[in-house]
Amino acid sequence: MDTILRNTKASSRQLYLDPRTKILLCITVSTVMLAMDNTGIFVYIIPVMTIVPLIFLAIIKSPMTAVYYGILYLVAFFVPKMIVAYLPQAVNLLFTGVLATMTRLIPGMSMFYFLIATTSVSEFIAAMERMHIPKVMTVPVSVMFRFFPTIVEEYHGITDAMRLRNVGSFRNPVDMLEYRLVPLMISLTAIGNDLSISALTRGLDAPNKRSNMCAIGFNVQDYIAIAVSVVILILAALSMAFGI
Amino acid sequence: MSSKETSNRLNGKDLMNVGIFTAVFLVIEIIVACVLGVFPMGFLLISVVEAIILGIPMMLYFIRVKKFGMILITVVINGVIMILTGMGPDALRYGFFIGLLCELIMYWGKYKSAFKAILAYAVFGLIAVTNYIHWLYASEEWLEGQRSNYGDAFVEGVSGAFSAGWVFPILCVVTVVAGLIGGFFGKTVLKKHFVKSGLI
Repeated sequence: MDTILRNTKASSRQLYLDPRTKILLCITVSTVMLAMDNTGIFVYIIPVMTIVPLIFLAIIKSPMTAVYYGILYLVAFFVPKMIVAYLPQAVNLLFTGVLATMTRLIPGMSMFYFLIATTSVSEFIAAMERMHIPKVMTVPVSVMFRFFPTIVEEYHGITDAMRLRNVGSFRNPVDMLEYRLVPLMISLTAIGNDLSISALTRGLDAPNKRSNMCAIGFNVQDYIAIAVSVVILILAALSMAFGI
Repeated sequence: MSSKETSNRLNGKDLMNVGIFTAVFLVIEIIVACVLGVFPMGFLLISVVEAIILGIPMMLYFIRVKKFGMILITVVINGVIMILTGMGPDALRYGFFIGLLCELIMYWGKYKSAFKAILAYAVFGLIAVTNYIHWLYASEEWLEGQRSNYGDAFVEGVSGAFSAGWVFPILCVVTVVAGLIGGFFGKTVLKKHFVKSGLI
């Protein structure tokens, strides 16, 4: 199974962006989508922000994800408008509100998907070291990304075993919780012990600075992306302060 | 080894533990949110269900926590992930204080007391509630701005669910209670499986 942050170099095939630029883009999109009103100049910026994830998803050559994102967004954007008049008030109260708020979350989530789909673990750690984030943060984060696929894999194995023995079905939720989570936790702690011993042998606790093979740095495209994000963030700040 | 255990600095093994259990926490959190978030009533119940389901893994984590700072790192990572996924800065802003409170409760029990661990876990459950803060307060202003786009009936209908002032405190209390239940459940399960087999 593929790890979430990929192990190989993110590639020169596609438009290469520094991880720090990607993080800034993520923050810009989610800030604008969440915090800004659809007034003033943001009438034009918010639609642009919804298109940005689409562009990046198209660039990394995963057209299915891009199409999925587009359809999801269009549904969340148009369906409430169309059906709201025909539904009873109680349903509107509970249902359409969530859908409407989804339109604000989907772009940010897609940018996060773009971030983790195109960044390798080493690149990510190199970027965090350049940002002077202390070791107490970088080690857990990298272990975390290493563990996401393991968790899924182990859980599938456990589900198969439980199905084979015919225990822990949905009819018995408490049992199900116990029979699935306990083996999962036992195997994960065992894997974690192995992993930490292996990392200690490779000098995780060593006090000196860690070197990194990944050469990360800013290119032209990074500067363009950063400039655009900074301008948008400044506009957002101005609009919050003075209400343009 | 004994000299290491007495020192209060986090070593590599502690950090690995933080990473593993944060991963478990995030995966379960996101799965629960994705499954329940589809249904409107379920959306409000995310934090409560999470507090019960996370009982087993998080009690195992909290029992392993022996030093100051581990829960805090978990909370901060969770907050940063929430910012990057576009849930807003509330999970980091308020979550930091919740994490600090957990650490203080654990410290109060000298990182040994099982009951204090359950109590800290119940408080820890509030992390999931911080994600609602945006829905309850900020989105109201936003919906006012949407009035021209969506029409009056829509805004009236939607803001009703958010503006009921009693929803949020009740949600907090229910989550803490669910956290206590989940914590006790987790503790019992741990005793049954992990202590007997000698894993703790």
